Amino acid sequence: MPPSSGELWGHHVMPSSVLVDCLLPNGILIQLACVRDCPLNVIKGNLWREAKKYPLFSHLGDPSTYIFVSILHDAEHEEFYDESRRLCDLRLFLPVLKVIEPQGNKMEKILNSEIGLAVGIAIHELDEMKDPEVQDFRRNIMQVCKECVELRDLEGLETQALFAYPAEVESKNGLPASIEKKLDRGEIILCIWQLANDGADQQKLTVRVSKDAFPETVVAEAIGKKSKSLRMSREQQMQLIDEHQKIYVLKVCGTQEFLLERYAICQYKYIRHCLAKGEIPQLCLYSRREVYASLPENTIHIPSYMRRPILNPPTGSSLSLWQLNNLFRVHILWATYVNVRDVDMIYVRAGLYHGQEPLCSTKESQQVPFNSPKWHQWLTFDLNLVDLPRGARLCLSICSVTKRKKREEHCMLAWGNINMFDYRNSLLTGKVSLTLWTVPKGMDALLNHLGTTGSNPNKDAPCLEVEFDRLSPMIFYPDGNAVEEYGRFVTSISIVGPVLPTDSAKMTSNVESLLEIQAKDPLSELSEQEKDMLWEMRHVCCKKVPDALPKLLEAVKWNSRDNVAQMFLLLNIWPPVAPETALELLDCKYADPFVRKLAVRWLDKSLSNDALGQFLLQLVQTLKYEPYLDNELSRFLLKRSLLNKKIGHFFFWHLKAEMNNPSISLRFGILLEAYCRGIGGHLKGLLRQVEALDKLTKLTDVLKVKRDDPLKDRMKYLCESMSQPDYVDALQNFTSPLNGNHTLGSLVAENCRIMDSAKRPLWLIWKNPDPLGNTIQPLYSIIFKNGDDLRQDMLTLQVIRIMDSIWLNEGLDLRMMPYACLSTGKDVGMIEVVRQAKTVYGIQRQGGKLAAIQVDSTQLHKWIKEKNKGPKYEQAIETFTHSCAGYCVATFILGIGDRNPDNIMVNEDGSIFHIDFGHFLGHFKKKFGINRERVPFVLTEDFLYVISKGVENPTKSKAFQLFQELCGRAYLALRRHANLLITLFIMMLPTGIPELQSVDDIGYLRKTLAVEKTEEKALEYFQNQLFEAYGGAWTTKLDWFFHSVKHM
Amino acid sequence: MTELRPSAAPSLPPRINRRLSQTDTCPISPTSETCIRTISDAEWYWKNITREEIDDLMKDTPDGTFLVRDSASKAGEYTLTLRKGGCNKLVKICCHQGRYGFSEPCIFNSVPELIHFYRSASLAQYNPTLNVKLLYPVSRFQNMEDAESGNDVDKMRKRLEDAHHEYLKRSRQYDQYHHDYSECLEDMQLKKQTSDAFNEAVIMFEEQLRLHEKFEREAHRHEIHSLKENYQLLKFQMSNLKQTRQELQNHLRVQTVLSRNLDREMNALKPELHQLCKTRDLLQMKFLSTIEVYVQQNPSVVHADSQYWLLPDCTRPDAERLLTGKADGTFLIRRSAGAPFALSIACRKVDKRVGHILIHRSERGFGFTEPYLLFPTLNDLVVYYAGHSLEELNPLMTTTLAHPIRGSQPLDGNNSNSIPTSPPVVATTVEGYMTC
Repeated sequence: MPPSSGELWGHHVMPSSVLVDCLLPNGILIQLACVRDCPLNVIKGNLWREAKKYPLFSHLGDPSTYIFVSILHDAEHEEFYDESRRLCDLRLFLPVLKVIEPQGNKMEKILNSEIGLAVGIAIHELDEMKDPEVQDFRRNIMQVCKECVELRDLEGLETQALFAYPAEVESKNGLPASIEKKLDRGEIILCIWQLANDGADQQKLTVRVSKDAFPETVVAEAIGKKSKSLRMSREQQMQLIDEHQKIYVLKVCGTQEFLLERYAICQYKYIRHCLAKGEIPQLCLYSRREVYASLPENTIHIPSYMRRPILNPPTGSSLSLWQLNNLFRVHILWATYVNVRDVDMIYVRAGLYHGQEPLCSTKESQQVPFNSPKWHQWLTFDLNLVDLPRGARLCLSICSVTKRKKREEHCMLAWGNINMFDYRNSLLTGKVSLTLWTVPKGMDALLNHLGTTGSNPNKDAPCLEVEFDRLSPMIFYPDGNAVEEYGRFVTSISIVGPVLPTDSAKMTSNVESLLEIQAKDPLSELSEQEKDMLWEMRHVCCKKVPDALPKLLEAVKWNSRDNVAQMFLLLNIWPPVAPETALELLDCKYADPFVRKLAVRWLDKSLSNDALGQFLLQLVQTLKYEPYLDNELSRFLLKRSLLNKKIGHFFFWHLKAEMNNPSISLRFGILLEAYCRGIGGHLKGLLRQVEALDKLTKLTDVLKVKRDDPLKDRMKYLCESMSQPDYVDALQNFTSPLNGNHTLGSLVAENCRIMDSAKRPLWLIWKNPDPLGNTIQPLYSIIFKNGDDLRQDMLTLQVIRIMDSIWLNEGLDLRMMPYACLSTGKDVGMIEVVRQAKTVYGIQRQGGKLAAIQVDSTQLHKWIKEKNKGPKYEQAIETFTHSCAGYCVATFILGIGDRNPDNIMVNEDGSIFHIDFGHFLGHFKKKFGINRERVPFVLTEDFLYVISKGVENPTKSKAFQLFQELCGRAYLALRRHANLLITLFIMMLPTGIPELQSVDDIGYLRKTLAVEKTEEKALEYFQNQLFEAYGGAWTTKLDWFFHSVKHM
Repeated sequence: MTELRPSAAPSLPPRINRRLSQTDTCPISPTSETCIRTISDAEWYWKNITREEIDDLMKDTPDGTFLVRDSASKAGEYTLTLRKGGCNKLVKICCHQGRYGFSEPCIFNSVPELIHFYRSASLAQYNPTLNVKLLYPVSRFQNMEDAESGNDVDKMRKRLEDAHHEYLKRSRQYDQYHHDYSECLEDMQLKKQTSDAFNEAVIMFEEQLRLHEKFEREAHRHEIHSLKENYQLLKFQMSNLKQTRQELQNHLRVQTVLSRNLDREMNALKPELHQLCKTRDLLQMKFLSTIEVYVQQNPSVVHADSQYWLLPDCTRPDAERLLTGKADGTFLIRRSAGAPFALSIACRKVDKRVGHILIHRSERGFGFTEPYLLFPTLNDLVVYYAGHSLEELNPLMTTTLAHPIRGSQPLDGNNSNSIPTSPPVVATTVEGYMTC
């Protein structure tokens, strides 16, 4: 099988020497032998020398007037303007280089080629697309890019620097209690370094500042302290400080993180992190001028497609939808390629949906033999056209019927969905052919109403031909004014008005029941009585309980124009909701474009960059639920990404990682294009990362082929490959995709290795090129994995990070270790290696005296004791106990399976943490494999031994009792945020992770979080689970326990 | 210590009514509702069934299909789930001063009475959008009758095992098809792209040939010969390209046929899988009901109380020490690594005279092997196997769970070891990592 993206077709890596067919502009073909890593300019020189020996040389002009062009893997032509690129890096399909005279705008072509490289989609292919929605989006979105470039330029270099080095701060100013108590009279000790003479001369001093001091105060303090040795007068000193304060900025030692913004020093994450761990923050004075000098240009190139004439929507007589008086119907014509055998009949099923909710009963066509899929039948729905809501979609499927014994078995063969209104508000009319999608594995439903809209780009799939009534050339959904007007009209004629928030006596009890409904988790179902009440109380909701909006929207009858218009009136005056509520409104349940728009606006106002970073993974996924390419969520994410490089970094990678998915590659591709057009000179840095990952992917592709060779041979291959100039170039001095603040210097090739696990990941080590890197973190170790889906790991770690911040806000510091993990493409990604950590298995084996099966449970304790001699011991045990509690609760709630001493690690300061999250939500082997694992929970003898500091009978110790209490508190703290946790998982549904396919999978969280129980009952449930897992070790005496927890 | 319940697992479909074990009452016909006094006799009452299960039961049913379950939030109240307009509507059944209704005032004396009323009256009088009657109850008896297999337990077990193994076999086959199919599609995608790239390359060479022809006229005479050679080379390269393209396209055609075949096989297998899954589930439910009947008919104080046989922290060697020399059938249950628990039992026919069997757990319950991971509690399992031999699991274990280790012991030879009455000292081995 030919590899897809090797350096040449049929080769993962180009042979060291290749014969290149060079096609000259004088018609001559020259077969030129080239070495693999030869740059194009050298090839050109050789070619011209060679061409002299061939006829028609006189017809060739100067080499510099020509460029090379060739065909890439994806069958695209590319012109190579940058002639320093190496032959092996061009992604050639065949070793063919054509020489041409360049035409057109060189600048734009270079930029397009760079963007194409970064995004992984050919820009000219986008240019050639006929779809007006694509072209309108590309045109309109440039406005966002332009605005952002201008905003970044507002204060010149100063604001540009803020984009490149945004402040990484916590959303809240106040310190959590657990950290506050570690401070001495609210003061922080900082270590400030200063470099002179290119880093050869390092000096450091310590300063003591208030926790609320601004970075500039710290700079002044440091300069003041330094000047003390100069014996200056107070005045001179003040003057010195004045002069130098502006010259310097604070930088975190060893990384590319700067403290540029006026935030209290303790609000900076780095500082807070150090304080929590009891370490002294290491900062350095860095010249502001140098920061500014490092910034690439902040320009925007307006692409030529902006100058093309705008395609006007077809004109002609148009009607408002509400002027019609017909039932909605669809004409099912015929299908192609229906691929079945052994079935009795096939038919078409059609349903109208608004989010998850059917608007009316589904309809079926008549059944026909599978070999003649023709129907020519109108299906008429019980829904008047005027009642069709703006977010309606028609879901279609071809189903088979098999008659067995007395039962009929129905199966969906293929499905497809269409938006009833296009992005310009006009109703679908006339004939539509929809190429259908294959049924996801394990799906039993007969319609896939949550699936994507639009045709499958794979034209081999079955195609269904349908037709809609053409009642007028254009039918529009009424505009906002018309809807409002109608809403007021309906309100004025209704006999029983809604309850208004004026009757105060009745109010209190009503508000209470509304609050009760609001508190229900996002997956709980509302009864009809609750829906009726919500609808009656909608004005009360708006005034008093705005966060019940998601529930109220569930109560709206979307198949009634009257309801919809009245809700629209109310939405216009709805006060902003909390960010968690707004996130919930982005779920697919909320199909109305106006609701989604509002939700995004509220998010834009209320989400700090820190919080946005936390939820970015989910927000990118919910883009898939947006019915149209141009939507408020895309604009919001793009804008925030173009104003904060940290956000942008992950925005880019989260989109890029899914470019292989055909159903969204266009949507994500054009958004990535816009991002690349908007970041100006920073595009270069992004390209370096893409290229480095590309190199590693190809290398591991070869290693996969060689996977059964002896390790020695594979290692030899790895070392040799990585010492080739093209690898050395590509794999050094680029920003780490895992962390935008880390620059990966040169690769320490001799310490890199191929790991043993199934997919043969690479363990890679880079030097930290920062002058102070040596003192802080001299090396970066990263695992590169090719062959495993890392999205689940990434999600799990992100949720653990969110849990950690929930706990911190509730005053619990559980020392979690959500190490970095990033999926960068299909089954490709990187994982951060935590320093100074070992697997529990590794530690157990260290004892050595016992056979593998008889593990000595005192080893772990011994190891920690050894690494933490003297006063550090107590701290280490505390760290262990806290982190162990945190991971116990986190793994329990998330149902993380397959736990063994090989995927639990401990680092030298005592933090325990889990790695490899291949199974979660209680999946062990799903569905076709039968079982769900028991509640996973790992607390083994060795852990108990550490927690109790090595006493006999650890389960009877006071320390263990405290540990249990800690677990209970951590559990209850998360329960209070159950709705957020559930929402985050709902938002991840469109990712298509095999273990997170449907709402049923999230049911696991509702269960472990015991959402329907009272707090007391929930804790009892939690304790019982642990009791069961530990068969008696866990105490079930709740009374004392609950009381000690409840009133914290 | 009381019952150990797998409370993390979603609850089972409601168990067969206890009434089945009583011989003096005749089964009530599912349709004759008028005579039903209590809700627990009603065919449409599904106790604490989960939402997922309801969705499954009511999928693609006609409007008017309904069932009643316990309210999740309020004990003593119920929820009616009703199919309308292609989705499930939840209607709370409120209880006020012993009377039931959808809203105040509650006028029905019982839930069956309320349901009976709305079987012939539309709910529209309560809520205008619910203009449908309660037409089709989802019956929990219906399923039972479908899986008829008489009362011959052995026959039923045989059927259950067959269905289970057939299901596993088929689903593995399906998985294989699915895997092959995805791979095939991916490969075809690549080949298509490659074929496109070849087309582009051919065009590029065609252009070059035309260019060559154009320049031929401008060549000097001495150049003509080498020019011709170069032309031949171009043509040669071009024909190579075309040939490779042809081969690729042939492959692609073969694969297209293959992928269609696989897709067809999957589509054919799916209905069969559904059927098998349903059959197995039904038989499991049926078997579960026989377990329940058995447990109810054989009350055993000692077996039903875990304190007589559950020694969680006991290790495998500990168990062997405790059980050696005991009468056959003396047993204990301990925690284990490969599964939540393991049974250790004295039996003279097996090696070391002590046998160990893992106790697994599925979302349905505990058990020794699939498809019998059905026992709601460990206690049920113990009671059941006190009356059923372990032979079917291991032919050498010709014993039942006769004597709990902390129960009264039959005198057997030199039995003088005292039985610990408190949990044994926790050994230093890490059970979590030991195999049973």
